Amino acid sequence: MDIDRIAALCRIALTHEERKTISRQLDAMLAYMQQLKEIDIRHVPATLHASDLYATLRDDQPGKSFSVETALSNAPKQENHQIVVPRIVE
Amino acid sequence: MGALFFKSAKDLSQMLAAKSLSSVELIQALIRRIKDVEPKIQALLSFDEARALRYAQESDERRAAGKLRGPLDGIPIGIKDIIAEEGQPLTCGSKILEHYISPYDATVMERLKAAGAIPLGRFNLDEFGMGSSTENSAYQKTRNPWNLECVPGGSSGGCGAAVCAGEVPLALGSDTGGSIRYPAACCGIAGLKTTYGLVSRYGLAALASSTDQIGPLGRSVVDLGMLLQIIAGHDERDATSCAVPIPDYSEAFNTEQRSWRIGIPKEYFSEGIDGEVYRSIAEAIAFYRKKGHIIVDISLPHTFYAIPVYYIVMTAEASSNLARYDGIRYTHRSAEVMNARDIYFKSRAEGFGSEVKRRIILGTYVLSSDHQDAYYVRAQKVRTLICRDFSQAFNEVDVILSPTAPTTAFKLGERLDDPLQMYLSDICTVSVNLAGLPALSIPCGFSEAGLPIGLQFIGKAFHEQELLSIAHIFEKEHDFNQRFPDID
Repeated sequence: MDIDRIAALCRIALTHEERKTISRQLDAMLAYMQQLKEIDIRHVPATLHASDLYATLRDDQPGKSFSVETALSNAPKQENHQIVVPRIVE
Repeated sequence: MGALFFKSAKDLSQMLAAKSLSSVELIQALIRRIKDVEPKIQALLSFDEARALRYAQESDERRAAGKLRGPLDGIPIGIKDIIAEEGQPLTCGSKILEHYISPYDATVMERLKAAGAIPLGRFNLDEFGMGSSTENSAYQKTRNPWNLECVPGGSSGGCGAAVCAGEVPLALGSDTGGSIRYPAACCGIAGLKTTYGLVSRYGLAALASSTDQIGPLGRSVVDLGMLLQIIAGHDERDATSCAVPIPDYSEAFNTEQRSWRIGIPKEYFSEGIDGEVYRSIAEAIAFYRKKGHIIVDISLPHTFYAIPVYYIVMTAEASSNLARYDGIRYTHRSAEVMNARDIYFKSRAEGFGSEVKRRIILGTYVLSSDHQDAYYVRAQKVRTLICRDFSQAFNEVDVILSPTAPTTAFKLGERLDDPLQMYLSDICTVSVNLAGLPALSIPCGFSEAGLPIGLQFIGKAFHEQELLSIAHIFEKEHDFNQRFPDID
């Protein structure tokens, strides 16, 4: 497994040690998962969900919502009702 | 044993009704119990005592005024720390949410409060529900009250250990691949994983959205029914919530017993099952046969593929769900951040534990464009075959009986270095989640070492009442749920 590429896709910085351990463990798991290749799935549809899905969209209706203070109450850094992040465009 | 803290919710409800106990007295007694046993059990992550006592006071006032909200009014319920409760921490067992305070109530919490039940403490879990031993919590390792060197099972291990140790009579957990039933089995209590769509997931931090479900853990199936009555039902805030009629679950325990057709799936009794577990389950089968129920040998041929399918589907969904913990909006943000890119990479590196990283990476891999067909799409097709196995079995039987786990609780640390071995703990439970079915675990024996053994019943979708009824037949003629650990 190209661990660096995958870690970059999911935005996690790994230490050298983690890269080694996780690579080894995941190679073993992927090998274990090869057993699914034994099964003939040519005419089998995929199950995406555990229940029969049906359209559950409802009309848009204005309802109660959080105040700005509440919505931002867990933000790690904020200023003037906005979340502060480092500069993105120089 | 007459200790108040080991009484069932039903008994406590009757004591409250008879005015031989007040809700405030009950909460005070449990606070003392928690202080006595918590140093050893380590199940509790946070507990707002003052608020619990205030709710109890309000419940007692309602009772005095004749304005009770139902049978669980004044009864404390432990909450797995993955279900949002307004004004309370919601760590999900993760450092990334260490300082998070939930601004809202999950639907199940609204329903508990509307019924007068008292949220009592937030209990430990494997980080985001990823684990079978509760050892993956970023905060503490919960112990099994029957043997402090053993795990309580997971991921709802804090709830399981707390009910077992007399800290709380009932609890709400969540089950994505066995996370209610497995700790129930390890701790010798009852636990119910509900049909997918029966209980709203609104306010449950998402692990694998296509299998996550909230459900009760307690000391008897009667108590499970009482709590299920409150939490079951349609919620428009969860698009997967089903608008099905909710029966009166207490009727499960009153009705005349019919003869049930009970299926025994041979795949759940193959190698790997411990001899003592096998014997206890065989005795349970013999019990049902003797009571006049019909035992039918069945086969669920794709059972052995359930673990690889589950760990592909779950990690894929988890990698997507956990993308929300970005270090920007409401989570831990690394102090080392120099630029925008660092926020994601470093905050997530610092905030997530090793199992979470492992699963996000595996999930990202099986979803990546080069490998999606070989893993994710294939797994979803095999999932269909697993669902079909159950549909075919339920043409012949009303319920399926199996062990909840192939072994009793293992020792702390024993499976930590071998994730694949840890995943195999879930062999008897994950198929049910993939198929969205309800399943229940009750204690059916003890090993020679004194560890509980779990008996699992799997039912047809939305047939929780049958599961409760069938499990009750066993429970009322055995005393396994009347045995309590001696925590000295």
